[in-house]
Amino acid sequence: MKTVMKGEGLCFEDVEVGSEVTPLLKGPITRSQIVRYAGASGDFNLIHIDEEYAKNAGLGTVIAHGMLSMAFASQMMTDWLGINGDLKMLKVRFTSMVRPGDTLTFKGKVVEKYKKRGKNYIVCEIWSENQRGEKTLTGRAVATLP
Amino acid sequence: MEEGSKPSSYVVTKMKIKEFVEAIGDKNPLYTDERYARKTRFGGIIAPPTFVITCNFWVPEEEPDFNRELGGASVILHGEQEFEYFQPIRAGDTLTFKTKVVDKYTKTGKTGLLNFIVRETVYRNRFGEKVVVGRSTIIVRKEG
Repeated sequence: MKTVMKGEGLCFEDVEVGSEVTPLLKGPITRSQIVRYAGASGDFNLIHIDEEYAKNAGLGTVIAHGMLSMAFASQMMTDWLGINGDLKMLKVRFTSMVRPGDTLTFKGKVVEKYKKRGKNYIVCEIWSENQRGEKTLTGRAVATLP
Repeated sequence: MEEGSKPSSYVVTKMKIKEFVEAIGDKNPLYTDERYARKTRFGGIIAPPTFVITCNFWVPEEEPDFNRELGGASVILHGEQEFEYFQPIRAGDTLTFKTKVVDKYTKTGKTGLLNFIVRETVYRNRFGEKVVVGRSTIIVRKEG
């Protein structure tokens, strides 16, 4: 895993509209990771942890928490921004379910950059794709950079 | 739209942050390494951006669980989530938060009627300063 040390982070002048956010690969998602996330977040909704319940609810299998995917999306952003960037807004839509065994690739690109009140803002479009190329999450991130 | 919940408070502990970042597999030392974090502009351990959602699942005993209040729903799905960040979420801070329903609407899906509920949570630090505002859209699929 890449760790950005102080002073090595991304700068506003390094990015242009169209620049790619460094992708982040996650998975395969395991049942134990889903259970672990349930414990860490406190979200024990049975559709994430009880196979029988998830089947009866018509989901087929347990599904991963949307918030687990959002945590991955936010990690992609903070890894890429580095120590001097600040995430100001993150908004996502969960577009299809994530199941045990899925591999997710998080991607993004810069769609806008501007200065406002002395701060440098960038806006990124972000999304994740599973191993079949289906989008499981789409969204937007706003960040400030030095 | 509605009065909203009574404010609840949540202490952000280093252990809880560690548990969370291990679950999501984020190895950024800012979240776990005090010596490293102290030397950065944050001056100490902070939590990753989506950590703040853990507050919402910490429901005080006297407060009814929101999901239980939706009795009769067979499935509750998380449709959308948004966070606006005003300052970092710091280990050792006590966050006070209040949630209210800000929108409700219905759509017809493949499996019947879907009810959408948008809830907004404002999280403040011990000085009363805004740290994060979260907006969750949940989708409730009714039985039958």
